[in-house]
Amino acid sequence: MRRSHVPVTVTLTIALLVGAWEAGVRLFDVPAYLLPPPSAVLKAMVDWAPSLFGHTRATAVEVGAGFLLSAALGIPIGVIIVYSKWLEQVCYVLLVVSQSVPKVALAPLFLVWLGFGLKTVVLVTFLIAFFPVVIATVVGLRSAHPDMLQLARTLKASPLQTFWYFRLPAALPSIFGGLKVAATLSVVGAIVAEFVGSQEGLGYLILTANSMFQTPLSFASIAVLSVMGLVFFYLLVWLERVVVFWNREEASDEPSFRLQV
Amino acid sequence: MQAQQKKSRDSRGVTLEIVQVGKTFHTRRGTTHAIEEISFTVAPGEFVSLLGPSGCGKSTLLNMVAGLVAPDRGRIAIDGKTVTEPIDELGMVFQRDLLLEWRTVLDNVLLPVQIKRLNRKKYVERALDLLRLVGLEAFADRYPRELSGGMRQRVGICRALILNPSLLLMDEPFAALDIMTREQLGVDLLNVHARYRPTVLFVTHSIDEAILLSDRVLMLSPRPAKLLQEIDVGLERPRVAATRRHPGFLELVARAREVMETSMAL
Repeated sequence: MRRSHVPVTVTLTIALLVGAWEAGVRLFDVPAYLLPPPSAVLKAMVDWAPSLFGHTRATAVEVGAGFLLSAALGIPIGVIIVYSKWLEQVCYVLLVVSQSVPKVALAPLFLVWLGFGLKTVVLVTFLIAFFPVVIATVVGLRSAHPDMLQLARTLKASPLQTFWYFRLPAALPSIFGGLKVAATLSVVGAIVAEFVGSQEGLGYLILTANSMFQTPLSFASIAVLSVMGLVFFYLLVWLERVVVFWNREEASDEPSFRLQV
Repeated sequence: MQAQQKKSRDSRGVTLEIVQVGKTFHTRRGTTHAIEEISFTVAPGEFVSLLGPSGCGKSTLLNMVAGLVAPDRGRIAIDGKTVTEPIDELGMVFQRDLLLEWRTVLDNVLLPVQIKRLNRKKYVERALDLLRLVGLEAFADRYPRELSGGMRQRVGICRALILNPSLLLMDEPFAALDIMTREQLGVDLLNVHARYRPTVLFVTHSIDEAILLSDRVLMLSPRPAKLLQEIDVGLERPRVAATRRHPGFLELVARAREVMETSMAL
């Protein structure tokens, strides 16, 4: 399928699904509090727009902060694990333990320590999101081709130079893979944390809407959340294309006659 | 002999001494005798090929000369000094071009300059000269992914030469390329050697290539490697593609082939 056709096809498919949803709800006379039709969801979005906007902004801040923290700490931890055998043992134990405990169970504890609001949510988000970043960093750094490292030795590069010139750039594709997973998890993490310990944000709004049987609003919040997740993810895809510019498939008309070694 | 002495007078290359060198690898899966005992000398500016079948240990020998691996027995000396680590004046070319995909061709050639913290500006001109010599001057600002395998390997050769090395080690640099590109790069390499005159140790399993490029060809047996035969390639320089049709060349190739076949039949 030609590249220009894809967005059109996607839009048409979504439109078809939404149309089927709307028709189905009306046809089978489904009560609104169970499954509202898309028209009701849209109406809810319009009616509750200011409130929706405020909560969206709150969640966006939490997601952003949690994600940045997971990147800022996850990548250095990954580097340390690769370069220090001793720290590797220590870190791995801590990491696996921290990941085995469900954050939902820990969230109430954080609530007691840090109170309601931003700090608790960001902490939970960070804990959920940083593990894939660490793993991706470790895998990426370790994937450096041994021949490359041999080249570095013939040039008498110091360990720092070997890291900076050879290992790190080669690890970036993998690191970005981890960051993309972390991005999605950040959204999940923020919502989960809001369920337990916040009085604002889209997660909080979903809970409140459900308790009031305002299902259209609940759906509207979920829809906004999905869009947020998508936008965030594609932001990272774009960033990756800019930073890891050399990884692209050459979309040229000339046949690529580079021999695969 | 006289020709060799003349060469050593106007070359900046090093003297290489391999004295009774042996190497054995001990792994969990068993012991591998890579090299039994080898001795030879390379004069400054000489182009010597190590010719042998795959897996015979010639790459191991090259890595030992490079200072990347230590010999178990014997000694390797460069200009009289025992080798313990890569020397500063080393240029090495591998079978894979090992270019950094995220740097331009020019930046790849200048990589050794950057790593050794030298003044980049001083070497840009030389980098462009080298690229011109291999026909890649126009690609200086391109990225490796835009080049073919042969072009990439040329860049790898330029990178190895940027600091005017006195010792150039090449480990089957053209093995992954098609025959026509191989032959073209062989010619490029001849030009480079004629211009800059480093001491060259060239590992290959191609008889033609070894004889066309070298002053001497050292033939190695299958593993564990021993020196079977030393062939003095008396052909005149500069060598060109047409040299392959020279009767002297064909005779040398035939002789080498005979030695090779005998050693493999044993």
